[in-house]
Amino acid sequence: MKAILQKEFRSYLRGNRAFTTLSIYLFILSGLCVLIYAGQSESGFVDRSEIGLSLYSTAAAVALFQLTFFAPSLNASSLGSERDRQTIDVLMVTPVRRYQIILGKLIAPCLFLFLLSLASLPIGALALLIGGIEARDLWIALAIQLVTVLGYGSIGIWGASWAKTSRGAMMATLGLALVLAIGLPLLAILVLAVLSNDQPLFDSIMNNGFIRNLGVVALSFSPFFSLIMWIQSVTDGQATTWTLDLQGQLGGGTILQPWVISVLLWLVLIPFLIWRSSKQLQKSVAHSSGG
Amino acid sequence: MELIVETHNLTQRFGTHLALNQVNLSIPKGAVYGFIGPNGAGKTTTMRILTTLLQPTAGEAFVNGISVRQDPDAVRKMIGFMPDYFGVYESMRVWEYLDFFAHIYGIKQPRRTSLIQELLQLVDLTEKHDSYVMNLSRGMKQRLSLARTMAHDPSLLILDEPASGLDPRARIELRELLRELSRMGKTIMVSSHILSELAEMCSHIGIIERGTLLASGPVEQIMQDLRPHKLIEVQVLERAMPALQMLKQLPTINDVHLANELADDQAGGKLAINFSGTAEESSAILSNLISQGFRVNHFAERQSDLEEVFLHVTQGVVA
Repeated sequence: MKAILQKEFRSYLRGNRAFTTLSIYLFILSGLCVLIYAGQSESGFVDRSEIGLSLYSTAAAVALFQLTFFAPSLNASSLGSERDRQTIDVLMVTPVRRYQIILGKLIAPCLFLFLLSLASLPIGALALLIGGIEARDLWIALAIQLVTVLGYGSIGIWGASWAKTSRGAMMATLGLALVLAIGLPLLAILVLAVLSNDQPLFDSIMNNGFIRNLGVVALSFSPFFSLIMWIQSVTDGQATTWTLDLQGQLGGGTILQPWVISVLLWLVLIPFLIWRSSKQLQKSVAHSSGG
Repeated sequence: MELIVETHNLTQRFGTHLALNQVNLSIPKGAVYGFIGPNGAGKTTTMRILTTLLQPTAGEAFVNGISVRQDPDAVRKMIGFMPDYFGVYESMRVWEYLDFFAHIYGIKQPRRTSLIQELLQLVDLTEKHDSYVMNLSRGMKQRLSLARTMAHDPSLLILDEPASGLDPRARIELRELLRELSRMGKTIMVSSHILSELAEMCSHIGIIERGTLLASGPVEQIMQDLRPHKLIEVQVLERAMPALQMLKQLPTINDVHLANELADDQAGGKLAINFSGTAEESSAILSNLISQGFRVNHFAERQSDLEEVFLHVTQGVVA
């Protein structure tokens, strides 16, 4: 696997691609942060902590947005390109095991993306210096980014193990990422809006702990939901690292922080997706046999 | 005779399509085995099973006595596979490509560096050490791919259509390279459509059509089995017709006919003899002609070539 990791890294860091990607990523991130800061200055903020929190929220959200869509596409193309180049057969005839190929193809792009994530830390550190957030908030934002990169990256790998071309894999996994990251929260908002027209029904559903928790678990697949809930906790001054006090929202009560649920979900799903991808890779290579 | 590849009733189905039908293949160690068949005959499928890329539907395949089903990891260490496409990473440098595969096969530094030099020397690409793979010619890429198959010093090389798409020069270079590998003691299983090339370098052949192995064994034996009758061409300077009459009387000759039109009875001409006797008996035919006063200026046995055997055995039907 070390050989595959080395090869992948060499290809990522060769030429201007890595430098360009990093530059674009940081340009978008810092540009948006500057805009937010400028916007807040115009409207006149009351204390420094507002600036810090705004910077933190913007940096975390923009980084997450980029990583959510980079991760599946980069991973899908990492494995899919082996098929496009017809090098996958050659690789699979070597003693390297299928899961090692999958792991190598998953970890290399994820490390590269995590490098991007780390590169945005100075903006978070600036927010920390200004105030309004704690070091813990930075680590949690990083944890959400890490788990998103790995989780959505494994979706990319899994998609690539099925698809016939890297382009097909990228389109399919980007679509799935879009549904999970943005589609699910939008659907939840839509359902809540519809349900709120019938208050008794809305209350009975929201007071049903099972349905509510199931909803939160499903929504935790969206990194944006996890981040927004965390930022909301920080804004409300209620942030406890592990649990979320609903305080009358969604029927009240206390549940695990969505980012914790997200980490737990992906801890189960990532090995499963790696295992399924290994199996599927073997199958699809066998099916590509000809005369 | 020690076998390096053995298959027992190897069968492969893709849905309702029978790609391999109870193939029993034997390849002795050190052989250069030419695997011949039309497109869709089952060559690639057989090779993919032997390389562990494909699990057979039924039957067994062994490489060096190890089952490809039971212990694919052990089999992979013993084989070098070159598919019918290059399988190269275009954006890598030549040395990086070989280094990557040597690394995968567990070869550690500093051995890897010296191995890369040796492999590049073997395939005559030493000067391309730092070139990008994308800048190599088709023939060079093929040779690089062959060098890659040799990275872990496998005992069996499985090469699927290695000469396809190469220009004549690259083909000759590849053929020479395969000869060199054979001299190094490697067993080579090679499929190709270019039968004349296979005939020149193969010690054994297998002919497959519609998933059925029609013939397999040493080239001479197959030639002998499939073409038991030899064809002797004789040219006499005059009196071709009396020579024909005389030859018809000889008991060892199955059939004899004129190979060209004669101007008159006394004219010389070419005779084609269908003969199934020994070398001594063919020598006796020549002696008979000379003793009867015929002036012979050409007497030669025409060798059946692989193409002739292939056409004789196969029906030209693609599965």
